[in-house]
Amino acid sequence: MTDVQTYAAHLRNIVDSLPEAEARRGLDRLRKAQSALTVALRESHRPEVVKDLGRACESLETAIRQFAAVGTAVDDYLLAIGVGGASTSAVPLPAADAPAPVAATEPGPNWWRRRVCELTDDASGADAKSDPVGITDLFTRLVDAARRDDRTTYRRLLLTAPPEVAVRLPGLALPMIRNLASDRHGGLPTQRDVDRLRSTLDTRARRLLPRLPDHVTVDQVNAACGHAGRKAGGAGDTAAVDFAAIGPILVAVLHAIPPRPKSS
Amino acid sequence: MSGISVEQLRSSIAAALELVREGESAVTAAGEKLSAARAALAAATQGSNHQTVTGSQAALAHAEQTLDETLAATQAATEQAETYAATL
Repeated sequence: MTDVQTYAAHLRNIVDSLPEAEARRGLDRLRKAQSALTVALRESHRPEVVKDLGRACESLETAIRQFAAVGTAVDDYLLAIGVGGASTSAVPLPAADAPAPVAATEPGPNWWRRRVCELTDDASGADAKSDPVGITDLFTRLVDAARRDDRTTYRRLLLTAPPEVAVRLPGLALPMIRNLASDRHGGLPTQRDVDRLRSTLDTRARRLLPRLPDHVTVDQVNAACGHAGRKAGGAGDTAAVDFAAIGPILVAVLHAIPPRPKSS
Repeated sequence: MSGISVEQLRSSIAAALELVREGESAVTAAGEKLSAARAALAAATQGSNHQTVTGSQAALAHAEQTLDETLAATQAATEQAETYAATL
């Protein structure tokens, strides 16, 4: 691992250490308390209690949004210094005296397109021009292409996507994968349940990304469902591209599976 | 008036305040982790004036402030609810 990659891993670990889980737990308790007090105090002429708790919830929601903003800012910073990649890493946190940021040897968008060419097993288009596109639009178009098994369009969208936009695809894909997987499974799937889906997911993924490494589909579904496992980014740029490229496919595949009734 | 008794009302308020305390405990834990993350980020990006770095530091400062505001609001709610429960 180069100094730059070690530094990037250090920053991503800091982002991962942000207390989003604690804040969400607090928000859950305060919302429940607010709901309970709304009922209990409805005839008490004490609306300020409920309003105070509403204010507390709003503040907490703001904090959670700030955590997300930090993740985005750190991703942007890493792109700016030529590292790029998603917002998580499995690399252990090094000591606080991490090396100062240095310029990467190969900055620019080619790292993204090179990996897209590898994943799609097609060397053409590595010098494609970026097509300015918003993250939501890109995500929607990728999911649509994946739904139609349209390998040509899927590849073109990935190749022409600005890397700084495309690396944020997991931010849209992961919550959708979690919701769809829960709906289709009838509850949040366990890691074993995810493993059972593996052949279905891999088969569909390989139609569009024939050289995708074996573990990526399952890793992303596990990450979406909050299960521990390999995370994107630790291996450098390629892992970030893999993680970004697979999300829309998983959303399309899961969407096509009929929902099952919720398990009790 | 609804059919709820004073005892039921006190019990409901107490249960809700227990949830508030659990929420406060989570927020306090979040504040401690956030302080550590802020210090780590400041150390890791020391000397950088890149706008994304200053932006992330500002976001963390804002998050820390909003956690303080959360606790101030929950404490105000708790005091009000306890005062009301004492008058029942």
